[in-house]
Formats: sequence, C-alpha cells, structure tokens
Amino acid sequence: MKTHKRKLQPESSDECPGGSCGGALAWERQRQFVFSVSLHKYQLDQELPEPSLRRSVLISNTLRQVEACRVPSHERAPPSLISLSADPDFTISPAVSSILTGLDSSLDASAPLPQLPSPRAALRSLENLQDLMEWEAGVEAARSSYLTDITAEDMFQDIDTSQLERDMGILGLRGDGCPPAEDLPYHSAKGLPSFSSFSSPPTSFRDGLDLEHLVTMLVES
Amino acid sequence: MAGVAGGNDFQWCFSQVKGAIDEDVAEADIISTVEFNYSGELLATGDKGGRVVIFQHEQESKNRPHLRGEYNVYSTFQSHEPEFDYLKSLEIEEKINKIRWLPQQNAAHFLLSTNDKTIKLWKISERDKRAEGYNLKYEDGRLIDPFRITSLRVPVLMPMDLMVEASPRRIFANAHTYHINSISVNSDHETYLSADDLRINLWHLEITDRSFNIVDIKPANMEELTEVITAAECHPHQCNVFVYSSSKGTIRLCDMRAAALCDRHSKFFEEPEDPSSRSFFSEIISSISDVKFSHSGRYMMTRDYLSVKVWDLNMENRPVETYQVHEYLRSKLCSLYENDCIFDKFECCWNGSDSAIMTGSYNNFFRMFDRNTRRDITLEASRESSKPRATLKPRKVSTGGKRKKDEISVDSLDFNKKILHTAWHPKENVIAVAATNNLYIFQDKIN
Repeated sequence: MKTHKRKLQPESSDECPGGSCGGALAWERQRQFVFSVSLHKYQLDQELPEPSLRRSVLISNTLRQVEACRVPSHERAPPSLISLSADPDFTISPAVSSILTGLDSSLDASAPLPQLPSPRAALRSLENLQDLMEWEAGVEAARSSYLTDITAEDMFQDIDTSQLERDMGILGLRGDGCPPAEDLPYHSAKGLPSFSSFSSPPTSFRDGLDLEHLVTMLVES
Repeated sequence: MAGVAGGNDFQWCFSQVKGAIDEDVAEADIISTVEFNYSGELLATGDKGGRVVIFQHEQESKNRPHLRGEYNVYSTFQSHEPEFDYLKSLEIEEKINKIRWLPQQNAAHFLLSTNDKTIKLWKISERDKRAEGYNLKYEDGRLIDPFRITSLRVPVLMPMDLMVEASPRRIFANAHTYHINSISVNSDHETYLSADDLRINLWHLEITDRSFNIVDIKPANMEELTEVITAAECHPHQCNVFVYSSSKGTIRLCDMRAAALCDRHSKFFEEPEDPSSRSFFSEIISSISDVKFSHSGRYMMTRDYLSVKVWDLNMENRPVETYQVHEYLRSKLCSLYENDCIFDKFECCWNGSDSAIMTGSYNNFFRMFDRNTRRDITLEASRESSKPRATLKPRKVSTGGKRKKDEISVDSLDFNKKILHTAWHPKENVIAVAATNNLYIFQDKIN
C-alpha cells in the first residue's frame, strides 16, 4: 500500500451557525455540503457487503440532523441547530431508516461477493466554494426550467425506464407481491436513487414511486 | 513517577523500532493492537493480517546500564485466518481487533485475541528441555518392538534450544452477530467480557460453547437505532462492575449483581454539551473510541475525537479532567468528515501510577498529559528521530498565522500517519507506539 501525504486544504473555520460565524448563506452552504457528502457516503456504504454499523449510525444521525435544520427558502435565516427530536414529520427518517433496516437484513440475506469500494474523494476546501457555486447554479437552472411547466415525464424522457421498473420491482415498490424492504439484500438498489423515499412514510415502499415527489426532492436538494 | 513533559529529571528517548522500513506498506502488516502483559515483560502486537507478535523484555546489558533492556521477538503466530460466512455471504476479516493478557498463574503465558467474530485463548509456553531415554521408542520416534526390551530405564531431561510454542487452547465463536470491538478480562480471572456494536457477552474462560448476554441495546425495530456500543471494560478490582461507552459520548457503568441483563445501568456518565461549540459534527466527535479504567479503579478515561476525559466514578455529570488532544482540528471537521478521518478510533492508556495518560494523533504524533503538573507534551514517532538513545524533541503544531521555527502547520499534517494504538508499561516508563506498520519503543533516560 503506497502512502502519500494527504494535506488539509485551508477551509473556513465557520463551523457554527449563526450570524457571528459568516452569515446565513455560508451556513446554508455548509449544511448542503454536509448533506451531499453524507448522502454520498451512505450510497458508498450501500456498495459494501457489511458496512460498519457505527459509521452508518453516525452518518445517518448526521443526515437526520442536517435535514432537520433545513428551512424553506422563504424563511431562510440562520436557525440555531436543533438536536434530533422525535418529530415524526422528519422527511429524512424513512430513507435513514432504510439504511439501518438494510444493515440488519444483510445479516440474514445472502449478498453477492464484496466489491471494492470507490476511492475516497480528495480533501476539499470549504472556502473553495467554486464547486458549490457551480452546483447551486445548476440547481437554479433546473428550478427555473421546472417552473416553465416541464412535466416530470419530460425530465425523465431520456432515462431507460425498463431498468427503473425492474429495480422498482426488486425494492418491492410495485404491489405485485415482491418481498418487503426489510427482507431485501442490503444493496439491491444500484442506480436507483433511494432518497426518493425521503418524502414518503416507510409504508410507501409498497405504494409505488411518486415521480413528482422525486423531482421535487431533486430540485430542492 | 516523574513527570512526562520533560524537565530535569525525565526525558523520553528512542529505544527501538520494529517493522519494515519500506514506503510501500502491506495492508496485512498494519498494527491493529498493542498490549503489555501484567508484568511488562511481554509486549504483544496484533496486525491486520491476523498475526500476533510477542516481544520479550531482556535484561539490561552491563555495557549499557543507562538503558533498560530491549524487547526482542519472543513468539510469532497466526492467530486468525480470513473466513467466509457462507450463510451470509460475508467475508470475516482476520484483523486482530484486541489482545488482552491473562494474569500469569504458572510458567506459561495466556492471552486472548479477537477479530470481528471469534475470540481465541492462546497459551504461550517455553520448552527448553526434552526427555531422552524412553523405553518404548527410539530417539527418532520409531517404536521399539516390546519383545526387544530387556531392561527398563528412567528417561532423563536434557537441555535443548529454547523453543516457544503458541497453541490455541480455547475458541469462543458464534456469539457475536456484529463486530467485536472490545474484550476485557475480569478481576476474578475466570470470566471475561466481549462487546460488539449492540451486545456484550460474558464468558467463562473454560467454557466455549455458551456465553451470557449481559447487555443488549438492539432495538426491536432497527429503524430506531441511533446509538451503538463502542468500547467496554471490566473494573480492575470489582468483578461485578463493568462499563461500556457509546457513539453518543455516554458511558454506562453496570453492576452484574443487580440483574442478569444489565440493560439498565447503575451509573450514567455524560457531559452536557457546550452550545457554543455545537456543529453538524458534534455527535460524531463525541463518539467515544476507547474507555480505560485507572489502575486504582477510582477513575476511568475516555477518548473521543478531539479530547481525552478523566471521570471520577463517583461523579456522573461531568469529567474531572479534560485534555485537548488536537483542538486545532476543530475548524477542519468538514474536511475530516469528507475524508473519513473523523471516524478514526484512537485509543488511550494510563501509566502505571495513573499520574499520566497518553494517546495518539495524526502525523505520527502522540500526546502525553501529566495529571499532576497539568503539563503536556507532543512527541513524534518517526524514523528520522530514531537514533539510538536520541532524546525526542517536543513537537508543536502552529495554529496562528505565524509559524515559528520547528513548528508544523495544521495544513501540513499527514493524516495518513495516525497513531491509533499505544501502550504504557505497567511498572516502568517504557511506552510502545504503533505507527502504521512500525512499532516504536521509547523509554525515559535514567539520569
């Protein structure tokens, strides 16, 4: 194993919310950054046959916390961080729950041979916000195009829905007698954005995928 | 015991380094645990390849009276092999997560070693004599025809070259669904506990086919899981008491006399969060990676990502001492989260008199804190400063804008070089520091 020195890029020291630490915008950017990194880690962990339970729990708790701090754009102001509460309206809970349920089910279900995880991303600087700004610009473009009456079907025109339908069947998203999510292999949902369940209660696994909800989540996140 | 942070009467100096010098480090050679035995005579290491290497302290040499003796290889054996769980289609790593010595009761030495799923009891014994003059077999082992035996003799013991044998005496398997993170020998010398992410089991050293589950935090619905067990240890004197730490920064002390299942703790240790330092990563950095009782049994020490805390067992609401290990990393948590360093699990250890504590950091730095003088020191385990009897120079990380000479800036730290495992000799000022695939041994310079 060849080692090479990894260095930290200078990053903003604004780790805390609030006006004294750089303002609402910087805080929101950090929140979105943490959210996207957490989601990426979650997806990477899904590739592993047996991810670390400690790591998964910490990432899922972080996701919950980040989502709990999300405020609607019209109310965007630096809120104080709230600790995780038992608020049943947490939209992230179902997806996060799927992490832990999948972890448990992996102990009972068979799974393919382990695959090599993707190499970790190099260190990024929070102050190097170019990536974030480009990403935000992309989001804005998507939002504006969404506002010009593009239907959800149009947005997914280029997607091979045959793959999507098969994966939906694997996840039991069609009510055709497919096994419930708890019994599924841990990483059966390759390529299918599992955060589609963010806006759905846990029982909606069997109720089908709401494309409009999916599009809404993609744009808003 | 003298203070750790330098001064006129105490200085740390390099003694030995074990392991390959190559820049290319084989994954299997990475040291995953380090442990002195009760007397300090033996030092065991486990690595990711499932091997255990035991070093033995040899007596001081008359030529170099100012140094204590060296540690040389005593025994090497393959403790665990990689396994495949066919039922679950999962590979079980051979990496040695923990080694714990048993108190010595006869000439042989015993230790427990564990990977993610299986604990093994090993006997390490010496053989320096062999019997000669058997009546029923020749020296090469061939049997003698009984009809040819015309007289009887008593076999005699003849000296032979010392041979150290390691043999597995017990295998404790199939009791952990999740990954074992801790094992701890009880003070009764008959039982020990093993802990995984969600459960803690109590074993008897003589019985391998069953264990008692004493803690189970697995929720009925895994969707409700928000906390895991990260470490556990038996009290050094009270065989009914043990503690376990969690990923939320809490420690629970349990009394096995209270109930068969110790889900309800006797004491609950948690420090209130400082609201001014709250961030998205507050919970992750509060996750406790190690918990160790003091030798006296009155205190315990916990290690989280940025600090080491000493707790008085009689006070649950806050630690009595807090030591910042690398506070300069607090402003870098975003990057450390992204590159996964924030999930690193550092261990900590006490010195023999409980007057000092030690833990590791990045850039091959390790930190020592003197509890009496409140002084601390940062030292580095590096080949560059590995000259015989060379005194280690204290290191410093610059956090401000101006970097002084000999200081290293935070942005220059090498986060691949992490000291996760350290051990302190139970009686002397000798320490063992694992730096990836190298084991450094340092000792004080006796003046």
